[in-house]
Amino acid sequence: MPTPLQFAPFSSSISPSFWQSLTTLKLQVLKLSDEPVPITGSYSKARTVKDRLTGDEVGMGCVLELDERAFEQSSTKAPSADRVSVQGILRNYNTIEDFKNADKTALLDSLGDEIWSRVNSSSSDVEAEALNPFLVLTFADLKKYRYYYWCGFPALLQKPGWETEGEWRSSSGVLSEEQISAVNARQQASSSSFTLAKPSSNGFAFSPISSASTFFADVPAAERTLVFLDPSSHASAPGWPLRNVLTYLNRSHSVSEIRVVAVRDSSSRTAILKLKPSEASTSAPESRPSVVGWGKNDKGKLGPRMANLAPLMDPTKLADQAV
Amino acid sequence: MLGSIQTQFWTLRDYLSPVLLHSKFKESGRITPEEFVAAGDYLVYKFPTWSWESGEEGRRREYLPQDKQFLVQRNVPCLRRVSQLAYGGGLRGAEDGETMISFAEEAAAAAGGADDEEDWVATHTTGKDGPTPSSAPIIGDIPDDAPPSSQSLSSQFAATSLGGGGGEDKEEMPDLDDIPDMSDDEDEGLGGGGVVEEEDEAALKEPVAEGTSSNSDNLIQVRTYDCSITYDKYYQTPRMWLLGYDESRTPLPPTTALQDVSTDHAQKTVTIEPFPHSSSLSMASVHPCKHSSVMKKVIERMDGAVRRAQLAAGEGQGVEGGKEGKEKGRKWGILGKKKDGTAAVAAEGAKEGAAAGEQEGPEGLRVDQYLVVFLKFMSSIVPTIEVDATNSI
Repeated sequence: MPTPLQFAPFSSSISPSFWQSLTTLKLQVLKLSDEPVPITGSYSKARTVKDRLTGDEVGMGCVLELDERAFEQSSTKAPSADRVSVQGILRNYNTIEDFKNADKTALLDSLGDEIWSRVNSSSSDVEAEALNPFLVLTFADLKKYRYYYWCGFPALLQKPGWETEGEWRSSSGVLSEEQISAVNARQQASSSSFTLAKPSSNGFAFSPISSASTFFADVPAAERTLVFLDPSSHASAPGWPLRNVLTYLNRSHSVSEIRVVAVRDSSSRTAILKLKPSEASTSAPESRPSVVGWGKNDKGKLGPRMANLAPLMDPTKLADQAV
Repeated sequence: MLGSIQTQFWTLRDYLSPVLLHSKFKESGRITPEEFVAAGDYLVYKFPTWSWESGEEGRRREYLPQDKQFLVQRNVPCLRRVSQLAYGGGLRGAEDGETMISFAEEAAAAAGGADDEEDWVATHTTGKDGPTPSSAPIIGDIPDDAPPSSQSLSSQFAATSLGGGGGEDKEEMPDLDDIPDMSDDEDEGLGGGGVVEEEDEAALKEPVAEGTSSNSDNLIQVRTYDCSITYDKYYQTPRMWLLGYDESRTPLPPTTALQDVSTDHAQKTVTIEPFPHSSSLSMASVHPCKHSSVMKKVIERMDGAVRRAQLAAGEGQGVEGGKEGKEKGRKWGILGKKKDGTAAVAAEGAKEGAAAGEQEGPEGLRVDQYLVVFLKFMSSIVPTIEVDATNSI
């Protein structure tokens, strides 16, 4: 029985050192400018921890992290094999009113347009990371060390959506041992978080996602595989980044059925995904679907959040800075 | 004020104290910067969740490599508050309880060791209730005792239905009027800045921060911590720093981190101090004044265990023979019972040392395993923060 596929949305985790870097940038470089600034964030493989009290495995959320390295343009490559770097845009506003009144729908839509153009491009240099840009709106109240922010992780709303054929299962029962070790080796070596795979004599053969049409040309639908590093630890919901990649594979390479292997902390899970058959044969290039993906605040509603660093600041430094 | 003078003094003392040059880790529990780097490399290699950081440029220490100034593990989960461990009800099984780790002689341990300053309480390890439940209520200063107030900041915030502004009322700042209260906005439909998204069936509807919505005990509230380990030049030991995030991933005031420190250590060994690799942040830190003596004792014990394991691996049985062996065996048993992971490290050390040990006799605990041992020690101070990933291997 196919079930609709759901994706675990990102939430943002921003370290105080990021806000410090932003403060420095604001004071020394940006000043009153509210032009977009390119930044880099990262996410890691899903982690689970064992609750020592109950013995349960507790999954950690699907988190995009931002720290002080976000502004270093040289740091485009992921810090380790377990992490994926993603590029984003920061817009820092000068007043709380500007922050509130910013046309957020338009901002997310403009990133959506970018994604849409990549999704429809047939060029060979489309990378999964480029399909998943993110957006951070900020207002820094420097006097009070309060930082208001709202992150957006744009995703194209694909209709009809994807469905899971059968269940998510641990890869070890589905893939052969050679295939699993090939996946692990590839994950360690590759810089790309998404790779296509097809069965080969020594486990799997791999290829970048932009070559799907040729790579999958003579591969039966059931053997087409997408391996990716999954930030979600949810049993049946893969992480958000998969979403735009599936849209891309469908639009550019007319993939409508694929096995995905979600590589996680210690294991990996796999399932067969199919596009809902009703309109699986979409053809005409329609207009861009709507874009979703604004982060939720701590009440679970769409809305900005606030980080208050005042209690974290060294009191002597606070005294020094007070006028 | 006194604290700031003290801090200045520590900074100066740190600056003036010489860099430890010769390895003394087995004799004194102290390590040199080179050994810190070696131990850090080992930790990063074994547990890739740890990584080296370079910190702020103006704050680098010249005796450490530029790109290896301190170690960080980000997003370390902290499943519940210590208060929930200590006073929680139903879920507490036979595994829970407190035991004194006595690194002194066993006689002291038998006596409960309550007066021995060098004893550490390993909370919630195994076995029956420890000898110190009566000491728990002493710590009245920490707002841990009653769960409602223990989560005062986050839970009060969650309980009040303030709007989408995102945390305006988290702290008691008297002057709120400079900034228009963003919580007003929700009434005008601007909480989300008027953003309305199309219904998205493919987004997983998360049970929103279920921990914050309730004050009841034993609900899983996933706080996370960024744990850093720096090298303290004065004490010549590693030093642990904690930076917390609440369930919705906004930074916690450092004092709140005390909720996640074993009550026997909060405000005694854990203090709030400026982080050495940042120009302005303060964090909760486990003060290293006792680290070297504790580490020395832990290392002595583990070294013996590792040696015996190596011997056993190298020569088969026979070590557990004589009188001394028997006594050691008992100690080993106690150690093993208290800390499952200790055995794991010992066994691992044995495995690795076995090859080398066969020719030259047992090598014992190597200095690059120092930080793994250190983390075991730290996890007794912060029992609910999963700093010690070594059990999962």
